[in-house]
Amino acid sequence: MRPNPFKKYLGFVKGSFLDVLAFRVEILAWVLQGVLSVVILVFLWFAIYQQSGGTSINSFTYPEMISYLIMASLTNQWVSNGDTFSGVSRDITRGDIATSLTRPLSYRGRYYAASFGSLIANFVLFFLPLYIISQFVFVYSLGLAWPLWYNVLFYLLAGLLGMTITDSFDFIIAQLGFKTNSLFGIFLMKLALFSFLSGAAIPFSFFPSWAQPWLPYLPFSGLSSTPINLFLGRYSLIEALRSLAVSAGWALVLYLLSSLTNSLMIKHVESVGG
Amino acid sequence: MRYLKLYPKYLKMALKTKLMYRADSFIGLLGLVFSNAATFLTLYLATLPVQSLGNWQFLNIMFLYGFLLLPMGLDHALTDRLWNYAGSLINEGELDRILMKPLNPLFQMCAELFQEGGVGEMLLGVLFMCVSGPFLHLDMSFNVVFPIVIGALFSPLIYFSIKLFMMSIAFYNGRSLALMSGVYNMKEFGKYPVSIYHNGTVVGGIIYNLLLFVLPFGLVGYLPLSAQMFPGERIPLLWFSIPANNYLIMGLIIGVAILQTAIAYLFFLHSLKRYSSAGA
Amino acid sequence: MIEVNHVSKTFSKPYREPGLAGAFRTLFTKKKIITKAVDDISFKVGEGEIVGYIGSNGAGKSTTIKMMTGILTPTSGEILIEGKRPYDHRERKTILQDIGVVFGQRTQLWWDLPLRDSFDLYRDIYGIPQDEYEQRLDYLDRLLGLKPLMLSQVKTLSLGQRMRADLAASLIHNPKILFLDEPTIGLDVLVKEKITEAIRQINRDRHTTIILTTHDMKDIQNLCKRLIIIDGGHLLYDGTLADIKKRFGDIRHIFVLSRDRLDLDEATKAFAGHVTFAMLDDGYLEASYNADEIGADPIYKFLLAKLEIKDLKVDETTLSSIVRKIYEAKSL
Repeated sequence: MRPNPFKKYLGFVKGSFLDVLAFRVEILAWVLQGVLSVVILVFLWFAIYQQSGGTSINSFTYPEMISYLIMASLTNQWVSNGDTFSGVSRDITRGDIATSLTRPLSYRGRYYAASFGSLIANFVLFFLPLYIISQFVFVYSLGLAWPLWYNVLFYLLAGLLGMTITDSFDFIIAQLGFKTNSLFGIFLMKLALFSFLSGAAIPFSFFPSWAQPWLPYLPFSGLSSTPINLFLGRYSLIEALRSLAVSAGWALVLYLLSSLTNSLMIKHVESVGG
Repeated sequence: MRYLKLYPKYLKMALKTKLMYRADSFIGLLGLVFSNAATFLTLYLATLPVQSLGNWQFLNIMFLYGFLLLPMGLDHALTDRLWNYAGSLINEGELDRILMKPLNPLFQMCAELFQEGGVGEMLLGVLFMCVSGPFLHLDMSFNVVFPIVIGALFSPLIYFSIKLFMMSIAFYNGRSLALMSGVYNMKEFGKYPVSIYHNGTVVGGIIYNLLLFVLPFGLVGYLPLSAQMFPGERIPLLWFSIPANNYLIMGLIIGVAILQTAIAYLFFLHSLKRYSSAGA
Repeated sequence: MIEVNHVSKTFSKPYREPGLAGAFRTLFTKKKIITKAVDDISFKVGEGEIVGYIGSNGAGKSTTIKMMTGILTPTSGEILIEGKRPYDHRERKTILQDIGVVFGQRTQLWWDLPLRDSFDLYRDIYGIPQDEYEQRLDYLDRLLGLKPLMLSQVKTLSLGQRMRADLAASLIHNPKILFLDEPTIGLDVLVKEKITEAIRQINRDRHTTIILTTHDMKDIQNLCKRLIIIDGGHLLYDGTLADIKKRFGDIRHIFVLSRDRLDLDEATKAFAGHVTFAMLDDGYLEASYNADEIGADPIYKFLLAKLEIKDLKVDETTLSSIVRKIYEAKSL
């Protein structure tokens, strides 16, 4: 029987999963941080809605806004939490890249597998319990409706695509480590840009009207805005399919791009020596 | 004092390294400017539909944000290395090298790095203040500005003491990075006028006072500017309220800053001792 | 000068179980592993001595050094350097002015800056007056050949150059005691010799007390008159090199290169166990014997009879074999 070619990647999935489990204090800290930031957003938006006097701002009522922001925070936990950026940049700065590339594995593939492992771990360990609690809050405190099965399905699908997008971006951007030492600065810029343009910090409907038409077509929307809106059932069927298609398209394009940069990097390392 | 003479030497070394990698230093600076700009833009978009939060018009909010960036940036520039210690440096044995020298370890830990991004933040702060200030008709009398400035000189200690305390936890756990960043990021919420929390709910009241005393990010910007911009109003504090007197607030800031720094430093020393008995 | 009195050091670390189930369990349990790194060690070192501190990895060498330099506090017992405890918060300030440390694996220099800058900063940290500083630099330059390196960034230096620089940096403030933790690890023979010669010179010129931990037996033989051997946290041996030789006998080795093969069992039997034979990796046959017990002559005769000898080398007591014996005996 031929050995399963994916078996070797499984090791990375599992390893990444175990890594996430290993730091219990860090886990607690993460959770606390997320909860606290949501609490404070609640106050901020309460003040804003109080100020406005009306019930709906930019097509969001207060409960809808809160649920959006909570879902944004929760989604971020499992979609955008891979180690690819830090892993690749560490390999590059430490010069380990040469040895990593000699293994009989695709360098890109192995990081994607590891991100997948993180995704599962984060989904099961963080997202699920927090989501369950939040869902009860949504229904009983905020008075929202339960999500329909296809909303959930779309959400999960969109999230997976979003992870591919952000993982590929991380991979590509990390390779700037060849050119500069200040990867932290780049990381910050990326973080700021992505969280702003993905709709994680604030929904697209709050953006100025000239920006709103094309924001959903940027790859970043797939990280937060698309999955969240799908989950909240804010899209009609056509809009839903379109947004998924956009995400899928970007996911494909970016993954291929990251594979391309992977090959380029291999060539570069072979000629220069890491 | 010896340390005053030594610090410029350390600074020179750190700056020399920065200048060697000019492009990298600039990118680091940009990164932080981007982060703050993104946060501010989010705030802008959020308040755009309503234009104000309570007494605070958008321009007031912008001025507050800018003002806050000054002490925050200064602390950021000088004590950024503490993050590395919370992360991996302790495990990598870097502490041994420091303990070997006849020089205060905390001084060495901070002095070895100069974070240029902090300067970027300070410049951004000045920019925000300059853009919004002229439209605000601020009270610039001496008795208002002077205590604000003095308070601002002590404010960096507030950020520093919190970072120091959280970092010292790493001596117990090996890594306290997540915890540290979690607590430190609470500062983000000092960027909004803290009055929004004081909305009558119990939780709100708790958070309000939290932000004024325990993690006193609200003390750094909100309180002094509140007094400057709305001098007539009394500011609620715990179960009473205080008049919007800038000297009183300055005293509060200085008191809290010194107290917190003392607590954090003692904890640091204690944890260091613990490190030497538990080892790496 | 240095007194170590009944010092013990135990560490307790949280226990992390392997595997998936173990990882889950670690989340909820608080099991700890207790290791006794150092167990009741005592010795004294006088001024101007060069002491070699030998032990296998994990034997407790680094732990003892860290306690002597005040990085770790002993769990029990006491260490005194010039009458003060280095791990005591108040007493250590003065001690730190008088000790220098070189960690073989890590550098104490500023990575991105020219070497000169690191030295200048140390001058300021230790408060060395300028003229004294210049003198020291000259001296160290003569000893270690620093001048050509001064303007180079530390990260561009080779391992050997960096080691010389680290050694110089640890001496810039003229310390009374120098701790060297694996200073020659990874270095080639020439650099090793230069460094050991420099260490010897420092000890001659300034009566600097030197404590050297190493795996390298050659270093010990070249430098140290006194040896302390530690294993599993216990002090196995403390004495001079000469004493060790006397105690464990004068072991000699004959190395023979031959195309012929010797039946090792037959040979050992022939000498009734007084001579041990072994085949080495480089193709040489090694015959080890205790010169107090048996003369060389019968061994030579035996070898000449059995083998056509292409090359023959003779060596005296190798420290490593003695140390090996001590490990095996583990009690003295």
